[in-house]
Amino acid sequence: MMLTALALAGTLAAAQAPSVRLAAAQDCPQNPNCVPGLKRVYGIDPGPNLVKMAVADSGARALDDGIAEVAIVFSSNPELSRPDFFTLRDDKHMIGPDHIVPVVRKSLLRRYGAPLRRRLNAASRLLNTLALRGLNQQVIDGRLPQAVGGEFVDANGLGGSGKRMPGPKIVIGYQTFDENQTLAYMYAEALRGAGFRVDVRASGLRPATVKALRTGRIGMYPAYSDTIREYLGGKTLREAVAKLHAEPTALSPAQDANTFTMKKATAQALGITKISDLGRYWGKGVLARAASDPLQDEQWAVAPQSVLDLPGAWQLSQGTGVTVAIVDTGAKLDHPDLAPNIWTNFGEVPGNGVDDDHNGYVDDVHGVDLTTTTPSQDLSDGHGHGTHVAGIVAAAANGRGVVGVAPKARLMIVKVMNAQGVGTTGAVAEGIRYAAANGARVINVSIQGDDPDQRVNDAVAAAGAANALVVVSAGNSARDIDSQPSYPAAIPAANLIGVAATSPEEGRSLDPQSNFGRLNVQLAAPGQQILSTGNDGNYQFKSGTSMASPMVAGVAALMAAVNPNATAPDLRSLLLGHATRSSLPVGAGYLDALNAVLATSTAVGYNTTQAPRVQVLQATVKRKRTQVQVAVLGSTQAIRKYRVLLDGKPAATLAARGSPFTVTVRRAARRAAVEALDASGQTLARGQRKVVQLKAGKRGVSTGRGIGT
Amino acid sequence: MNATPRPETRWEQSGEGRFSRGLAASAFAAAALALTAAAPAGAAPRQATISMSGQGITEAVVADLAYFYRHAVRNPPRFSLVGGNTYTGIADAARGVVDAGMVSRNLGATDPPGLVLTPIALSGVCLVTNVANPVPGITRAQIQDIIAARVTSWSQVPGSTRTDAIVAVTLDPTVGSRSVFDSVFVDVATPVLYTPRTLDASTQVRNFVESTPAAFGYLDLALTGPLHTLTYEGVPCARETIVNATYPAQRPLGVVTRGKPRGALKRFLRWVATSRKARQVIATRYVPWNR
Repeated sequence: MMLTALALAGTLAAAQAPSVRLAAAQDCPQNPNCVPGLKRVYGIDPGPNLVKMAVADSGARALDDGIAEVAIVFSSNPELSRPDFFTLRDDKHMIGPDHIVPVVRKSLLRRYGAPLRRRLNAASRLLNTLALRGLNQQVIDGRLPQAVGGEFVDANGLGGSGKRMPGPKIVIGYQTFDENQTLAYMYAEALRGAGFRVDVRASGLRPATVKALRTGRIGMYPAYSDTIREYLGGKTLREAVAKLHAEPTALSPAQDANTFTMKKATAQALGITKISDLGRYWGKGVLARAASDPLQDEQWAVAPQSVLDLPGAWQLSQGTGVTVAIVDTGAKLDHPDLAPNIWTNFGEVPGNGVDDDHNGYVDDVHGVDLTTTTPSQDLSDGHGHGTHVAGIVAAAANGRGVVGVAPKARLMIVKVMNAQGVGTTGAVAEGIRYAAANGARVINVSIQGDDPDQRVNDAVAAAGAANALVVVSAGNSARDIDSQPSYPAAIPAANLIGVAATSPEEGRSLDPQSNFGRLNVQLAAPGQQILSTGNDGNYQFKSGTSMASPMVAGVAALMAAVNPNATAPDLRSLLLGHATRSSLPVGAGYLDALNAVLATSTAVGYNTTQAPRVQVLQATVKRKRTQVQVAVLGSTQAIRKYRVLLDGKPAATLAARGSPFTVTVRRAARRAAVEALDASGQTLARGQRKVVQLKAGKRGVSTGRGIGT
Repeated sequence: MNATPRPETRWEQSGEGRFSRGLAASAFAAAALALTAAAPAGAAPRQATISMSGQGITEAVVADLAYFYRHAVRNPPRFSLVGGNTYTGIADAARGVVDAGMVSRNLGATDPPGLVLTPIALSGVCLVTNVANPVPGITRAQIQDIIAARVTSWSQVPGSTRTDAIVAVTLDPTVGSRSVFDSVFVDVATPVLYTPRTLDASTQVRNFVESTPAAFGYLDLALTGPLHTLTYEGVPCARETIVNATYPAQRPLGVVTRGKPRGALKRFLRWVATSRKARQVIATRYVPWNR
């Protein structure tokens, strides 16, 4: 996709587009789901506002480039997953539902009967439109349709090699475009998994494919329900395909239908939510301006001209639903720019001196204080560093003060340094573990130390197992940390990013005090003269890599919000892969919020397409209550429920849910297991772990090496 | 796209038997390395995991190979692949973050020492236009004219029916395709006066050219599907001309490791180099390295 055009597109549209233009394929004037349908069903006609696109399904691109305000985009196009796109409601039902449906010759269905039908239906059920977009994205990224389709079936429990089914080989045809080929291989792999012998072959365009089915050269092919019904003619799908001596099996929930799509901002500005609204607005167009906070003009790193391009990214995401842990000196919780976004642990009753949620910590309502071994929590910030860092990540967009990089993210306060800004590696390690175990997707650690501590490495790895990304500052000693390491930046981990600081003037120069290193420092981000929240309740300027790291953490939160399935290594890879290249002595370049967030919205990480794996991260028991924390990696498409077993006996059943999750059972046990089950009750993945007695936290916080801000 | 025939027998015996006896010890060693931090005690039976990060185009090939490898051998490893670019692959491999980095260029003098490149495939960098502008071919001299801004309109390019300005697109200098383009197609003496759009990834170039009728750019052979590919000095950019070396813009796709590949990764790469199926998979888009 053309990323850089996004921010400009709206502006161009506002300045140059007095009319609402419709980008559509060349056949739009003849396509019943386009101009004829608009005239017949809605009584509207785009007329001269029709922009014919030479390339099939390139409407999304037309919106990005500002050459149209509305575009026809296929519903299985991965671009439609972008959060800045808005699909208009088809309020008069002009567009028929175009479900994926295997159309099978009757002779085959007679020969193989229910087993064939059951297997095809099971494969169809696995697929929904979002999953289909994911498959298409993988092929767009250069993978083979055969591998993508087969892998999808393998990962969701229908693959393998079943007992050989006697009978002739089933030949599956496909129309010669990637999506249909992927679907053909998906069904083929599902049939092989049940023991059928299958061949897959290209059968040409629709007319040739239909002819091949009618003449028996192919036994089935994945069709599109409404398209094939209209093409063959007939009141029903069954009646239509009967002309080919074929029958449809069950419709897949997945669809590849036309959609009328707009940029969300454009649609909001024009007040368009449904297709019939288009009739009122041909010829008009105004765009809304984003709201801003009073001091936003003093936040140089937030300006559209900076390397970050946050206003562009905010059109896509503001970090809703993502928790970012601030492992630092605490924070001024009641700062007006922080208070709206402070994370709350609803499992904990404030001030009762009890570990209500059995996580090992007493009264950890908004976070935890690891600067002391006393059970209570004092999250106040006597230094100011943590408050400043927290504001950079997620100061609220509330019309006052400053605005954070992810203004709707939640801030979990993990205090590991005292009022002098010093602490221990033991506290840092426990802080990272606490953050990951309590739901942080991103953990910011603006801390520098010269000595390694294996406990911190282990904590970063544990955070990785819980799918948390750890973002750390490179340090402020003006040195190359490839040759003279600084920790935790030099820890090698697939879920950790080290960040150098840049100075104003568009943020393209390294801060003279910033550490650097092409291997150990991956990104550079604005870090000098950064305005953010102060622990006196006002606003302060601070400089250093401590300020650059939360810039990256905030962008990671924006990314995690647009694509909750992205793994921590995926987020790291997307941040690095879409950084702006530079001559700075860091690995990937400058942080680029817009490119990173936009790429994340449609990205399909390889690891999310693989067979699910259940990991029991921890299992603890206290007072006859067993608490199990579970992470699920890989594809969760086929998972319908989880079964918790204690000492081998079923103890609880949960509906499918996001990962990681925690379940508490009122029963003591010595071993806990969790199984992921599909719709038929088959176990797709299993994880287990020995249950240990819950121990109070803070036991190692005063040990280890010294660290500081 | 050619449909690759599927073997009736799902387990490929050839070659795998030779190392199956040593599998237990080495696979466990690899598994221990990969899962040290992430896997909890008491998890499901240990399975070797091969972790890689790096170049997206190479990742696509490796992911496809991994799929067929898992169907071809007993006790296949898990693969953990993360995309990005050649830099991340090299840096992550050098730092021990992953078992191997996926790259699309040869190692250079500025890369960290101690890395070993195992090529998997040979690819080409093709010159492309939008399908609505099917210029049959371009010469070296014409490319110099475009780079030097002596030719700025399609009306100056024989074979083009367009009359508007050439919208050139290039990749960032650190991207592998860019270095191939610069070294193969651009004379050292040619002044770089054109002002192309600079993008960070080959997929971005593909999307840009696909949607921009006046575009002119270059990108990896595997991504040229929706675009028009120009001949260069009369030679098409195709697997055949890469095999016989008549097309000059070539580059390797492969993996880099700290030292020679070991354990499960070594077995996978041996399968890639020797298996007929692997060669078929690679040949759908590229030229197998050991042809």
